[in-house]
Amino acid sequence: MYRIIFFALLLPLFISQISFSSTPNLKKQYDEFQKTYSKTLDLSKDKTLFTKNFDSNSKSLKKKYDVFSKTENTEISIEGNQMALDIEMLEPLEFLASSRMDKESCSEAELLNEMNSTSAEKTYQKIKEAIQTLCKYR
Amino acid sequence: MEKIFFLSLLFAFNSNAQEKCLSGKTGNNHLIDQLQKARSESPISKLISAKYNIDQKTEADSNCVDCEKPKNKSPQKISANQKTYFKSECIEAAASIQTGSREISCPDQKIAKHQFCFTKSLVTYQNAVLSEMYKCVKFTTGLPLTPDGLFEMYTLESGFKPAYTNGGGTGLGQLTGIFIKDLHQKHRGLSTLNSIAKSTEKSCDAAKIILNKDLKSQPQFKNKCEFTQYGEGMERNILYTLSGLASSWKKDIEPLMKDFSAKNADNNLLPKAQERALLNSYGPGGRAAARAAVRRLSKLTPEKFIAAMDKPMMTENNNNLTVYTTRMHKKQNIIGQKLSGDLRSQFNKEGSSACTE
Repeated sequence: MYRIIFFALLLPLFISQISFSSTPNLKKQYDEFQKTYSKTLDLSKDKTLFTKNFDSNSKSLKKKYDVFSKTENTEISIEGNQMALDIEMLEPLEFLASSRMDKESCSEAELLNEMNSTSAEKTYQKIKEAIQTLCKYR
Repeated sequence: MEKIFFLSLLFAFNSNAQEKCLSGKTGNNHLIDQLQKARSESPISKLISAKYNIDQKTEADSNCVDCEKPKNKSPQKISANQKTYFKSECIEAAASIQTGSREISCPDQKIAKHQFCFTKSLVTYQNAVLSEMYKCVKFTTGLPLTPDGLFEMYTLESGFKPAYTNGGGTGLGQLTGIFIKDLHQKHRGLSTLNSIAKSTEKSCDAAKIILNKDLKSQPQFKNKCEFTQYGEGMERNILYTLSGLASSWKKDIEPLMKDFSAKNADNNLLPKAQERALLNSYGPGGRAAARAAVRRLSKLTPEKFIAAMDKPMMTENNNNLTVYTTRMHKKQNIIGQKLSGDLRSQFNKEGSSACTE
C-alpha cells in the first residue's frame, strides 16, 4: 500500500522533471532558429549574398523547425507556432531566390507577400523592404 | 367614401404583396428591385431562375407576409431535377444576424448604411446561385469543401447578404482586391479560372458566361457593383470565392498536407481536416498563418487537427494562426440560437451539417 502511495507521489514529480529538462533544450533550439532567421532576413541587403546563401539558410531553418517539432512531440507550443509562421513568411523571398529576379518574378513575390500582410505585420514589412531592395533595378 | 374604400383595399393588397424583411428596413426595396430587373435582363439570372424554377416559387411567396417557416426538415426542393444545398431556414437565420453596416447601392455605387430589405425571395435566388456555382467548381476542380463548410463561411462573411462593403471586403464572400488579383495571376489562380471556363459540366453554364467576359477583360475591383449587383456581380462574387478556394487548395494547402493526407488516407475525418485547413486560408489571418497552422497540426491525428483548428493558436509575437476557423466556430453557436424546433435540436447535435443536404 505504501509503495503505491510512494509511486503515486513520485510519478507527477517524474513527469514534471521530464518536461522541465526538455524545456531548456526547446528554448535553446528556438533561440538558435531566431538568430538564423534574422541573419536570413539580413541577406537581402546584398543581392550577391542573397543569391548565394538564401537557399541554404532557408533549408537550415526548416531543419531546425523539424527538430524542434519532434522534440516537443504532440505539444503545440507558441514558440513552435512562431517558427512555423516565420518559415511561411519567408516564402516570397524563397520564390524570388529561385527565380530570375526579373520584373515578373519581383511582382509575383510582392503579391505573395501582400497575401501575408495580415499574418505578421512586422515581418511582412521587413520582407516588403527586402523585395524592394532586391528588385531595385526596376 | 367609395374612394376611401378602394384606397384601403389597394393599401391592404400592396402591404400583402410586400414580403417581410429578414433584415433591413421594410419598404427599402433596392435589392428586390435589382433582382427583379436582373431576372428579366441578365442571361445569368434567367438561366439560373429557369433551372431552379424560381419564378413559381416567388409567385407563391409574394402574397405571403408572415409565412410560417417550413416544418419539413429536408432541404427545399425547388424543382424535380435541381435542388439547392442549403436549407432556407438556416440562410434566413444567418441573414438575420448583422455582419456589417455599410452597403452599396448599384449601379450608382453609393456606399452608406442603407439597410436594404433582405427577403425570402432573395434567399431563394442566392441559394440557387450558390448551389449551381458550387456544383460547377466542385466538379471541375475537386475542391475539398462541403456545403456545410460553405454555409459556415458565408454565415461569417456576410450572413448571405450581397451588398455589404467596407474597407476590406465586398459582397457575399467579402472579396478583397488582393484576392481577385491573385486569382487572375498566371502562376496562381488563372489556371483554375481557365479550367472552369472550358468545363463541359452543365452546372458551369452560368459561370462560363461570367468567365468568358472576365478572361478577356479582368473586372475592376474599384467598381464594387461588379461584385455585388444581382445579374452578374453577386454571381461573380460567389464564383470567385469558390474558384479562389480551389486555387488556394491547389497552390497553398494541398502540397503542405500531402504527407498528412497520405498517412491518414483511411481516416474518415481526413476530409474534414482538409476542409478546416482550406477555410482557414480564406480568412483575414492571411496565407502564411493558414499554412503555418497546417505545418503545426500535421503531426496530430485528423481528430485533434480539427479540434485545434477551432481554437486560437497563438504565436510568441501574439499572432493567431487560426483566426478564421475560430471565428467561424463561434458564429455557428449564434446560428443555433436563431433556429427553432426540430432543426434547432438537429443543429445543436450535428452543427452546420443540419443546414445542408
